[in-house]
Amino acid sequence: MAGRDFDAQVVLSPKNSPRGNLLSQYVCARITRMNDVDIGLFDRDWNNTIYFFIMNSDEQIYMRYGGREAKSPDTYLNLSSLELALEKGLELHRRYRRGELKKVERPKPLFPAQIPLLVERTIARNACVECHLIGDYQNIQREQDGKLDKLTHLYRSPDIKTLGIHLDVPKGLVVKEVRDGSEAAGMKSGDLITRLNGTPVWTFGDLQYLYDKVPRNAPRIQITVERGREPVNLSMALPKRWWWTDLTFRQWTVEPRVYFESVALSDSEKREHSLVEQDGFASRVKRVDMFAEMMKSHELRVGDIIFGVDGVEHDELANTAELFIKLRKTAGETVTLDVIRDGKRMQMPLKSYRMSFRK
Amino acid sequence: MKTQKQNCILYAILACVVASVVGPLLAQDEEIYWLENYSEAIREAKRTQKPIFIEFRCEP
Repeated sequence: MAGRDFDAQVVLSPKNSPRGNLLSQYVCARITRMNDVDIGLFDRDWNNTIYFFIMNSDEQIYMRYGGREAKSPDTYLNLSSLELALEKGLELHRRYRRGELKKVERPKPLFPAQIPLLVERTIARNACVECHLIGDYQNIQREQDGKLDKLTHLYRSPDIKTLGIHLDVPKGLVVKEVRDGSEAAGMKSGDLITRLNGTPVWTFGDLQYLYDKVPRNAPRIQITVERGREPVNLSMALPKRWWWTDLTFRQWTVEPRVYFESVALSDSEKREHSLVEQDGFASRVKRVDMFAEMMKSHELRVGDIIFGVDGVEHDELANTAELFIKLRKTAGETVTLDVIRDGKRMQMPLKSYRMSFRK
Repeated sequence: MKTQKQNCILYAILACVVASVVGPLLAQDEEIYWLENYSEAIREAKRTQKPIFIEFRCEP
C-alpha cells in the first residue's frame, strides 16, 4: 500500500540515528483515525494516504511534508528530504519562540461530522473515515449543493512537471532538471526553490499545496529561487491546463468515467477533416477500456475521431472530447458523440458512469 | 554438585524471565514515542515547548 515502507521507516526511526535525534526534539504524533481531525486546519489533497505537518502548540503550521503525482504516491517521499524538513522545522520553531515569525490566522475549523454525506455513509455506520473519503464526500456534497468547481476541487495535486520542473528529491526543493516553461523562465539546475508567489516554501509538500491554491485562470506564477546564496525572482508562464492531472487512480472521484482515452488532433489534422480549429476539441481515440463494453458505455474504437459532444465542437478549456465530457458533464449523463470513422461521419451515444455506491 | 547444577538452571530461567520482561522495555526506549491523540500532542508540546511533528496515516 502507498507509503507503507516510508511510514515504517519514519515511525521506527532508532533514537540514536540522525533522524531519531531530530525526531527526539519534537513531540511526535501519528493519527490514523480521521473522525475527529480538524480537516480545516489540516487541509490537503485527501488522496495522500500519508502526510505530515510540522507545527507548534499554537497550531501554527511551519510546513507540510508529503504530496504526490498522479502516476505514483511515493515519488516525493524520501528520508533525506524529510530530515532536511525536520532540521528546518526546529530552526523555524526557535525563530517563532523568539518572536521572529509572524503569527498567521488559524484556518476555520471543519470536522468530518460537519459533512452530512460523510456522516451518513461512514460515521453513522461506524465505518472508518478514510482519508480519501473526506475529499470524495466533500466533492459529492459540493456537487449535490451545486457548489462543485471541478477545476479546483477535483484536480488538487497539480504537477510541477507540467512546468518542466524536476526536483532532486533527496535534496528537497533543489532543482535537478528544467524543461519547457521553467527553462524559458530562466530556472537552472541546482537552483533551490524558496518562494511561490512570495510565500516561503520549505518542502515539496509546501510547494504543491501553494501551487494548488493558484487560481486556475492565472496566466503566470512567480517563483523565487536561491542561486549562489542570492535570491532570483522568476516569472513563469502557466501553460494551458496546467492544473490538469490524471484522476484515474482516484477511484471515487465525481469525474465522469468515460472508458476511453484520446489525444488532441493537430491543427493540420483538423484542417484535413474540415473541423473547428480554434479551441476545437476534436481528438483521436487511442485506447478503449474493457469496461466500455462491460458497462455498455459506448462503441468507440481506437482510431475514431470524436469532434463533437451534444453538438458542441469547441471549448475554451478542454482540448479533447474526453476532457470536455469530464469537465462539462455530470457523471451518469448520456451524451451524443459526433464521430469520424474510416472517413465517414456518424453519431453514437456515450453513457458516462460513476461508482455505484453514489447512486 | 547436584544443588549447584539446579541453581544454575534456576538462574538461567530467571535470567530468561527478566530478559523477556525488561528487553522489550529497553527496546521501546530506543525508539521514538508516538502519541496517537492530537489534543495530547498539543498539551505535551505546551509542556515541553517542543514543536510537533504530526503524521496522518490512512490505514484502510
